[in-house]
Amino acid sequence: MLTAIDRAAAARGLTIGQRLADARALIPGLRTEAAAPMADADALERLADWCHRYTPGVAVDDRGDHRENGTAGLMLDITGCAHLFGGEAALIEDLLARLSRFQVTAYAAAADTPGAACAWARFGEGPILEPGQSRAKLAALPIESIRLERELTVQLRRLGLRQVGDLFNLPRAPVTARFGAAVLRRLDQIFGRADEPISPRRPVPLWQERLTFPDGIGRREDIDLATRKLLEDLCPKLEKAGRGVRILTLDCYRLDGVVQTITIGTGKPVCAVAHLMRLFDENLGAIAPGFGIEVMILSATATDPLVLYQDGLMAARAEHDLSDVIDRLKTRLGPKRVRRLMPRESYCPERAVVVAPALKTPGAAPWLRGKLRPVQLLSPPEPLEIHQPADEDGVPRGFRWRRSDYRVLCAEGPERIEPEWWRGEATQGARDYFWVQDSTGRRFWIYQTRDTQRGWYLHGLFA
Amino acid sequence: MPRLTMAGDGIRTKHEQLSLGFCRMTAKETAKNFAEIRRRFQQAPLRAGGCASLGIPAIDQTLPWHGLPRGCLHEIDGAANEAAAMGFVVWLAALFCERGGWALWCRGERRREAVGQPYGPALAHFGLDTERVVFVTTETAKDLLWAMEEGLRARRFAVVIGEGVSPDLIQTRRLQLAAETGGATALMLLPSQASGAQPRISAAMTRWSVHACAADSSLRHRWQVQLERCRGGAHGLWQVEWNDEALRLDLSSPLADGLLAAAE
Repeated sequence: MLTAIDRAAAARGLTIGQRLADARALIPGLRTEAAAPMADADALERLADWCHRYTPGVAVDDRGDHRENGTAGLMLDITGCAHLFGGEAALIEDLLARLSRFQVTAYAAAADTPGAACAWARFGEGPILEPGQSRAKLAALPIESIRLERELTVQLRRLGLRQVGDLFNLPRAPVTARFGAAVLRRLDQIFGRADEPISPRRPVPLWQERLTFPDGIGRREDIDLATRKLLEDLCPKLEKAGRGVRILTLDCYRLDGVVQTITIGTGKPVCAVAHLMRLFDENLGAIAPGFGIEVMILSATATDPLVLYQDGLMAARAEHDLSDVIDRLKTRLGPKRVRRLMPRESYCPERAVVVAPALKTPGAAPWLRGKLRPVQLLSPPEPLEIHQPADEDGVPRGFRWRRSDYRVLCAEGPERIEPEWWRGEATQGARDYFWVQDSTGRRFWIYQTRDTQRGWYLHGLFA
Repeated sequence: MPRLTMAGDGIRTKHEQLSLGFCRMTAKETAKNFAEIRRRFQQAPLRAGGCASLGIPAIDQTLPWHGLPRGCLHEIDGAANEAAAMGFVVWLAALFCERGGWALWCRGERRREAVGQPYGPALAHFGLDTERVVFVTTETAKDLLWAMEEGLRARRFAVVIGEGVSPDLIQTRRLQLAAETGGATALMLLPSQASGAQPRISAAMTRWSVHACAADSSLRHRWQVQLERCRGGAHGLWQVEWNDEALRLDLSSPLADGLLAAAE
């Protein structure tokens, strides 16, 4: 079965949905390719990415029968964008010219409503449906143009309703009773009587700047300069609105239609050009300009209210100062690799330390004082092999750890640490911790479990 | 007085020009000048940000700067006992971080399995404000050195600790330059090397090695600290122990027990 045909085939009388054998009989030398719906969808997504160069509101229009009969398309909300390209006609001309450069055959139309644009692009003539002309011009289009399920279209045709205009004068109630609400809803959407929102593929950012280059740019210095220019445009606007960047996305549109995206994140709301530029600096090298970049768009995809620090508050300022270097480390190494340690009030050695995000404000809990604790803590504790009998205090005279034998010269202890039963850890059992030292001066923190196993473990190493 | 001749003058190193310049001087003047130049070389890092006194007069006086200079790279060899060396590094970091400075601690990712994690309460015990330490774990040695340089140049950290890599000459030179630029101090905790490895060459200002010494059961941390290498200064060997009451490091008194004699 044919799922898609090109212009030449349509001119020779082939239709979508025709059986392949019939088509071959009509045109003996017909060239066909196996259908690849997934690849088609991917290609459409890539094209949609590219279309973001015109407007942030881009939606893939493959609802209903468009998917099955190969007429899926893209819906661009160009409200308030057309003037950037010299008007609607110029925008469409530019779009089609660029698409034909990518070997994409496309039809485009601009109209008052999404439904009207959709119908006019597929069945109308000329790129633009002028405002107010929809009713007159669309009346002559075939009934297929109003985006109905195929069975419904077939039913309507059987009843002699071949054109959109045939529906205009029918009484509404019987039509709904006979065909369901879909027919009139589609019709209302086309003429703007019912709402049809375009749901954009990406959230439309409130803060966006764009730069267009008549000739593609490719040198790293130029890309740096353009990024700085975009930041210099964006940051004052953000600052005026009292917002700071949390996530910033830079889209680079290449001449060959590939879109490359860089995303950076910050630990605190920022609107300083130098700070953000340094974060981009790490990643701009990853952009492969190919034949050149024609459009760069910088969007602040997430912003937070900007917190201004008073100069006198030393502590707050010091942390604010750190945020730029921490952002830089995070951008290259990943956010989970930059951390700080915070104390927690617990006698359980593992729980006494919390690993916190690097820019978190510390709580009021103090560090544990007065108890001897190892400088290196093994997590989890490692089991020891005991090969020598214990002395009178119950401490082994020697043990084996990581394939080495250690002879215990002296020991201190025990320090009993009970499990935190209120957290439901009673099953773990208490531990008796000992400080032991071997003949070479290495000092270990070992413990024996108080349960039936009576196992020995190494939990840390003292300095 | 001999005339200074610059025959075949091409590109000369600074050293050559200096030695030519000295031809005109008498032996006494030369000696005086050498002393002056030596003093200037030794004090070069001091201009970057002074030095931190270790609080132990014997060690301070051995160091040509009467303390450990800031804005430099110092190496601590942890081959003998990594835990002891880490304790020493933490103590040094605490000295450099006085008055609320921040520290950046860069570790290789595999260190966690190998030697465990630095434990907060113990770091606080050695005087380091643990909440003002930013820990960074990196996958590769390259990333670790990058993070260190970034931290050193940022002018935000008083001290940057690197752990788990042994940088080569060029990398130490880069670290030293970054430390001079940013005025921060770099402390490099070197891992144990494979046996038969080449002796290390480095641009570090000092290199220390720390051994744990058997202490009597007073629960004190006792180390034998060796100054292996010191630019423009002498070597040294001391035995120090942690004073739990005063929270500082003291020379252990050799008369208290026979341990020093045994160590020597």
